Amino acid sequence: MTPLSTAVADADALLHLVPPVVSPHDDVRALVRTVARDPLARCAFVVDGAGKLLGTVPVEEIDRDLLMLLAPGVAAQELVTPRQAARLAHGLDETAQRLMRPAASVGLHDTLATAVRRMAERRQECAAVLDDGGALLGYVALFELLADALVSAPAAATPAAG
Amino acid sequence: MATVLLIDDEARVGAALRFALQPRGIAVVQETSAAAGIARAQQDAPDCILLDVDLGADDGLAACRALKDDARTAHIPVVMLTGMVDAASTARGFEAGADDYVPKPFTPRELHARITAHLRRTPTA
Repeated sequence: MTPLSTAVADADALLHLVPPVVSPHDDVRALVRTVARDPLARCAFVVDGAGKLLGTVPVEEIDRDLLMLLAPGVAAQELVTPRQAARLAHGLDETAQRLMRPAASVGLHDTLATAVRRMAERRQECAAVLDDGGALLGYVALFELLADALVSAPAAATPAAG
Repeated sequence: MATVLLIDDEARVGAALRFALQPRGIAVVQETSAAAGIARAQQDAPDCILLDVDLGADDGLAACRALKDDARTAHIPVVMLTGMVDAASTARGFEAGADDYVPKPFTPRELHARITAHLRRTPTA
């Protein structure tokens, strides 16, 4: 049980080190392989050669693209946005750089509550954790933080009877 | 202070290990190739070796076999680090002589617990 007021650096059971990463020019195949290795993260972090975080590709992005590419009949009723259609033109050769979006991120001295807020703001399921030099060190996962907080304070999570 | 030898071609893994272990009194040294790692282990006899399965150009499983076949290093526990968690790759690691597996990513608590468990069991060389 780790209170949300805990610094990320001290959350030693919730901070996941050596997160799944890809380079900006990796394609959808590499993204799928990377994401599949870590079901909790549900994303791949995009880093440059020095380990600096450039963005994140959430699994939902890859799910939709794979559905369109591998089972177009099933996906026919899905709404295809102009951005998605442009991406699909590249097929499995689409790059992480084009798929990525800005990542929710925190430093080691931020609290878990800050991480939750940043994930909520960006509608992402995990937040990158950066070391003091700005390199990607790990991540924390929204579901895991909230599940842990729920165990810590079950009464506070119970809706009022109405 | 106990010393862990990390054999991994990625600098970020070394940074993660230092973050997780050094505040808990375990020193971390890193080599980035199988040959350099084996040589370091033979020379320094670390308390534990963390070995990446996928060592870029090198084969982590072959490095594990080499460490376990050498009388100077056979007693040192070897913990394989892997991004592959399927049963077949885990079995190949144990067949090569590995003492344990740690899948990436890992939490500081999990890594420390596994390393200290091996340090407790290991006789001094």
